[in-house]
Amino acid sequence: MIDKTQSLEVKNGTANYTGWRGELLAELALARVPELSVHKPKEDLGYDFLVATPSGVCFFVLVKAFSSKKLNIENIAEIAELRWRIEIDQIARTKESHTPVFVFLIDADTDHGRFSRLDTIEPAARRSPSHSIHFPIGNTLDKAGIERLIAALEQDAKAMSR
Amino acid sequence: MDQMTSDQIGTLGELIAAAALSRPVGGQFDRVLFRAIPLGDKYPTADFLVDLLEKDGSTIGFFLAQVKSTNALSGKKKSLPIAIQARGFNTLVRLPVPTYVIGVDIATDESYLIAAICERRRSLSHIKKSYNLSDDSVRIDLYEEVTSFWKAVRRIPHPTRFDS
Repeated sequence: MIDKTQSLEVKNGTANYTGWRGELLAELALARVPELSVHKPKEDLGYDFLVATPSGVCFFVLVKAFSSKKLNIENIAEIAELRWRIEIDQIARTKESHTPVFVFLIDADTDHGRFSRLDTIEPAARRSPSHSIHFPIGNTLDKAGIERLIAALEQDAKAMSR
Repeated sequence: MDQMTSDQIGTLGELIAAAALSRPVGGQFDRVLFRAIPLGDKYPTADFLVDLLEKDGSTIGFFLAQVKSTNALSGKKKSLPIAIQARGFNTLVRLPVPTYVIGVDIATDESYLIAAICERRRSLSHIKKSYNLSDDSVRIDLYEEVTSFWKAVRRIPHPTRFDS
């Protein structure tokens, strides 16, 4: 029985396929919105994808993946909120990039994914080496979710240009 | 965007097929069996080299696959309307490794497999929906089929003048 108010922290499992399969599923999620232009950086920029919308808004994607099977988590898609810890240094780097950065959190076993914006996060305790990023069920990584993400980014870009 | 271009359909179909192949199976294997490596536009015969994975993620063989995608609604029909020229199909058949065609229905996210085993005189217009890659049993049968091929090939001595 799933507690639909549950908030669950997930982390790297031991499955050897989570990394490459997570990236594949992230690319698939982005390809469902065909007007997006998706680029894989040739050099290690610290991000997995650079994405551009037809209006010229760009954002980076950082993919984090896990194995719900290895973590013994059932019905992952129904859990109200997932959490993932990211190093404070990495969050600080995203703030310096001047380009929005999203984390795609993906379960490599069930194909379920969620997104969260990283560059707008203010870590509460800077002394802690990592910060817990929240992925609510409303940020599910499907076509509608990505379209909402883009609409919000384009709205921000318009507001900034005024 | 209302209409997808053929390039967009092709890209989405290849990603759907790669995800379907690499979905973990349950049962005795309980892991991922395949990893599809895109060959890029410059290799005309196949779209993917698909590695067969051991439990530790190492490769024990491979097959080549051509992916054909459609957004034409096929509903409950028993086949997917996909056109493959006889010439292209026969080029795939003549390769001396296991070869397959994967038909992708991007409206339903389903991928269907057929072997490219016999040369054809006519173009292929449909792929039957009998072997859906969403089924664990289809992926396991495919894994065992291709593993058998490579086990047999390894028993054949391979003379070489390039000694290490």
